[in-house]
Amino acid sequence: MLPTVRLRPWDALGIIPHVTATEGGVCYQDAEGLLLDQDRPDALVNWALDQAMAELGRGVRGENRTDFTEEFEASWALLKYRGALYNVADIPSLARELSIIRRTETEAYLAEDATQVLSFLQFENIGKHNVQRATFLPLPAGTYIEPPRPDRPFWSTEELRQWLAPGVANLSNKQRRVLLDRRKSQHGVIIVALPRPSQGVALFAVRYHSPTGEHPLLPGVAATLWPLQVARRERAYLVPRGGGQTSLADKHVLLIGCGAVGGRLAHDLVQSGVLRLTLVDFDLHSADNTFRHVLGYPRKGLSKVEALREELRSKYPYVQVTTINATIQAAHRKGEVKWNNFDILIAATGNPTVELWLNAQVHSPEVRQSAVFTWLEAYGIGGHALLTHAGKVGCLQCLYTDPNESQLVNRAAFAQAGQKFSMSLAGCSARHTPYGSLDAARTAETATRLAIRALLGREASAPLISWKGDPEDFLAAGFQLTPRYSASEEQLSRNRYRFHASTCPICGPHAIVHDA
Amino acid sequence: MATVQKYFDLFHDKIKLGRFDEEDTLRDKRRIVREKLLANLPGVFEKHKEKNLVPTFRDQGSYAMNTGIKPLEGDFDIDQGVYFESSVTDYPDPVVLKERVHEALDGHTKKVEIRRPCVTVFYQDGYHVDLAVYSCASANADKQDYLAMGKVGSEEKYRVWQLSDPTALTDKLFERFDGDDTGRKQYRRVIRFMKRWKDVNFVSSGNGAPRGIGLTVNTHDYFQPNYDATSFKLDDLTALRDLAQAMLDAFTSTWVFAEWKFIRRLKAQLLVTPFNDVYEKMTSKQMETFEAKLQELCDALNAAIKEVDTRKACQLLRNVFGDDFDVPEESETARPTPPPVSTHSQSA
Repeated sequence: MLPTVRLRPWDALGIIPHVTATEGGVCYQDAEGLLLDQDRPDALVNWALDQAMAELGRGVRGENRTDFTEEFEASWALLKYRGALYNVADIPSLARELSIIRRTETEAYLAEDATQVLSFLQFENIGKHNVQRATFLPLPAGTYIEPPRPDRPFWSTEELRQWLAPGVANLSNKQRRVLLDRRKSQHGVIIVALPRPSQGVALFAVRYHSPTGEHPLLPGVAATLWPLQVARRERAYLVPRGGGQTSLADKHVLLIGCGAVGGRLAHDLVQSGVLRLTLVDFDLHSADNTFRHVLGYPRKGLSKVEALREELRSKYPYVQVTTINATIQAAHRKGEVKWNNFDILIAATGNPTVELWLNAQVHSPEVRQSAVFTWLEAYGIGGHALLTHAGKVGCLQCLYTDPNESQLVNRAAFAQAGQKFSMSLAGCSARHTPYGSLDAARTAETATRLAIRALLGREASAPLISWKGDPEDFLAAGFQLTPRYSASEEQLSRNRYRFHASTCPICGPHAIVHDA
Repeated sequence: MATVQKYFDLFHDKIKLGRFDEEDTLRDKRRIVREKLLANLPGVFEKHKEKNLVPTFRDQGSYAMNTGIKPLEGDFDIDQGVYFESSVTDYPDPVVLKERVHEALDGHTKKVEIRRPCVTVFYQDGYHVDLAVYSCASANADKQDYLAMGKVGSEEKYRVWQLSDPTALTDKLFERFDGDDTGRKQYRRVIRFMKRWKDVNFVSSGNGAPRGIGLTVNTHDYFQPNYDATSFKLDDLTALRDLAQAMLDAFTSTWVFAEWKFIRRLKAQLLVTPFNDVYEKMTSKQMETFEAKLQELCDALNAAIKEVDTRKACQLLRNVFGDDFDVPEESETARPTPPPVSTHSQSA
């Protein structure tokens, strides 16, 4: 832990950044990512003092004034406030009205409307609540506000108008009319977005009581003010970005197969920021799969897609899951899925017969789609993910195209063809192929990374990504590996774009070609 | 194209001389020779009133490169480097050191003979060990290894210390395949196939046949790996055909005054000092035969590629590679329509 340096009294040098109000703690260094030499405590103390003095010096000379703006939410949090608002609204760029939806005394949301609160809470109904209007006021970039001191009375109406003047000055006549002049209410809330120098905005709120009902931002109006904290819960704040500024939140994925791999995949996708999923599976979640399926025991006996939807909704705000409890062929036949309605297809059925059909669908005329096929092999000897794009070479059928084989054999396989792996826990009714939860997780991760690269437009070609696991159990059970298993991971990676078969009936030269 | 890869696999299993798991006899002979040398050399040096030198040993040749094949006539050989910590100036006549080695082993077996590049120990049961005697780098001012050349009674100009680095040769022969284990594996197989082809098609004595190291160098120069980039299954047939064709294309004509005609020759230049052509001793006539036989090989491989019947293709290959190349029974080749189902190892 870094040495603590305090300034006493805390305002001895005026109000300057990086000195916590009343406590006087000097924030001279972000402790994250620092390794301390524990054998030299004296040197550490000296170093800490040097850093703190330098920071205080910058404060006195006014060199780091914008740091107030950068850390505004932290300063605001030190104020004595009653109640907090959870913001679930996408932060608007222009001044406007928002709703405060209060469910209980302590639970209030700042939102566009009730639907937005529902997509956050993942409830079917909002229940009893009341709605209050709030004025949202963005401040122009570069605006400076000195944080109110927690040891003094909060802003007066004059001070409020003075600090927010740049935002009010930016209002159009119409905005001013609608938001301020015509607004008659004794009680209200003002939400302020203060642009941070680095990125994004700081959000804070002020509650007011105006005896005349006039808006306190209008000149001459006297009102009582209280600070309100805004807890950031909006989608853009919580959901990770896929990379750079590209958001995956609106990408829609069709996930076919919700078993051990599919279940993980759904979680991996959502955790990576993909918020729209359509799940297809005809199966029920069996208790036999308790320890290798992400659903565990509690949701046994339920439809996999329904159970997975509930699981995801219980964990993640904003995720939108549609379920189709049927085989993909039936769903397609009935028109419940239209290939072009998604951003990508991911198949994790463990059934190559179905997946070859699906591959042909993706490459049929009129379809403009990319698909990831993923599967793992018995005893965790490895797993694979293959990406294919409609109208481009390299597809799942290529793996089964081999002039030297008379039967359908997967060229990517690590297990020699012609062996049978499924084991029975309790007779014919409960056959399954032996592999572990970690194997499913690794396969799902491989497929998710590939799918996300494709969604971000970073993978225009068709790669086959394979991982190799420990063969010990597989060999002990008396099974044979293929030459492909003997290839190094580096060789597999180097050859990942070279699985395309020139005689492939689906994507080869004899296939029906259309514009990519 | 028939599916003959399986038969190349069987053929390779039959001809391959394993380094570790097979041919214990060879390893035993090597061990015995080493032990004999270490036991007897002190006495030999003492007798000649010379400083005792304790040699170190290194595997050489196809044994070290793991490209050895079983000989047709059962005359197994193994190459051993015997390194002495003495400089070329300590023994100006390299044959003297070879004589010491000879003396230390003489009487131990059927026959020990000093040959120009080595001392050969012959065993009753058809095995022999070639001992290449070296003055090792650490003892020489230029930090290079020198090989003792010459035999008893040869003229002075043939008794020389020749700069030689067989380890470097092995490294050079294999560095092409760094990072391509599958290609390296096929390279070794193809070298073995070429060597067996040579044993089957040439009379073994003298320079009539291209030497194994020559074919190894040719394979290094002209072989291209041929395997499926995804399944990593080898296609030895096509790889061999492409190699044979490339070797044929590398024959060049030179005017030979002495014979007053153009002679077509293939070279196999060593990749390390002394950078000589391994085939330099082959006569024009022998080269002619070499080219003709290589053409026969290439034709047979092309015919096998065109052949759809596996049995017929294997018969063509047996004609050039000899009886160790299996030809399936008719029934094995007959391909009924495969069943419409196959098993797989996939789950999700």
